[in-house]
Amino acid sequence: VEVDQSTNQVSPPANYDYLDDATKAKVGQKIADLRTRIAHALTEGDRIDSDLARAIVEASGTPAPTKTPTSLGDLLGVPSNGPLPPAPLSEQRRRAIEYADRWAGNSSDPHRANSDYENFGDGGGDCTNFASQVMRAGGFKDVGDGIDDWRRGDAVGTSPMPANGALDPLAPSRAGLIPGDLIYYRDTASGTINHTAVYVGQQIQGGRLVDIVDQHANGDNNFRNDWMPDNPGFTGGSASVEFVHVTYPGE
Amino acid sequence: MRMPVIKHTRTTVAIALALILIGLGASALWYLYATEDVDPYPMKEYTAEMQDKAAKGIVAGLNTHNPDNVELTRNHSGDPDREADNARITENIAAVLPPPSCQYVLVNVDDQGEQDPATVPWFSGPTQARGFDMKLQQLCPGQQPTPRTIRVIAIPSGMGGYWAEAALEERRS
Repeated sequence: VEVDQSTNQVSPPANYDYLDDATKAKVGQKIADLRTRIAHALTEGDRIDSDLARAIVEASGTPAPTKTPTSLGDLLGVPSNGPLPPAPLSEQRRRAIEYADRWAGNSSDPHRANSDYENFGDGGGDCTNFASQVMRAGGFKDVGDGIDDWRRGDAVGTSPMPANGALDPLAPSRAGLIPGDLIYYRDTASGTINHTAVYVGQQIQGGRLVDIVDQHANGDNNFRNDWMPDNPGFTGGSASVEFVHVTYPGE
Repeated sequence: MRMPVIKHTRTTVAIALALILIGLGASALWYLYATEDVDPYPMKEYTAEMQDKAAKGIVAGLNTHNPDNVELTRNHSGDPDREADNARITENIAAVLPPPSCQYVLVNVDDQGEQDPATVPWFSGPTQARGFDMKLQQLCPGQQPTPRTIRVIAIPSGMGGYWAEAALEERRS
């Protein structure tokens, strides 16, 4: 049974016509059950949003929203139909993003890398090296030369990584990341951090708004790529992400 | 009587020093050159389990007859060639979709080892590729099952040394 996460529509499996009558009956029952549960979950979600809105108004003393919030995003002011308004970024953060955009690669040179630094290749060895360069461009001083000499940042949110179609394209910004922050990816098999990318903002891709990253990965997916990995090494199983806020010098 | 002994000792020390210097030099040369080709971040194994999982996902996607549902890696970057790359990937998938009203059933997966990375021309310069064959039965209403083989080509995902399935290729026997 297929569930479209964007429309909440439930549909029979692709091989439905090949099933025997008894199995078809079971599938029909399953679909009916799922539709009931989805409708219940949506109603419950609306109730929670409404309760939250009331609680925030009471706690903060701010006036009630001019329209009834239909989602937590509405309530917290996260836009759903356009890029985030340009937030004032510190000069150091702006420099970091400028470096990330410059050295993440581009269509004529997808594997672009700053020759001032060693490049550990596109197999997956250069991601944290690149993130370190970005932070250095943003004014951070080196901690040391050892493999354990690194900064961690402050995790502001985590998210499990289900199958790619179920990921929220705006999860990083909803978690509170601002351009220049980092995303740590824990892999499917071991759940350990095995990839790092630099969050650089939002962009309309394929008609929808997505949060984007600069990174050193597969060359074609390095520059302003959507934040969601589409290889199974980072979805399902023990996979998850950490959204990490870094405080640049002077902030 | 003493002079020859001193001379002998000096010769021994000189030879020992020379051997130590040669040893140090050889060690330095080994460190500089012999370790140069060691990749500190090698690709991970592309195990039978990974290939089997990928094959099941790809076959499920193919059976929807919609290339967008097939789990191959896409270009999601902000580069202007994104749309052109993705159009070629869609074209690659469409070429191996089951005929309308037909379905694939996965029979088994057969590792095919290293492949020519040039078979994935829409990705820029992968230096290595791996592949496996999906042995399928094509089921169409009112017809005998037909065997089909589709090869899956995987390239480095660039994330943690994992492989990413990137192209499909019909194999005719």
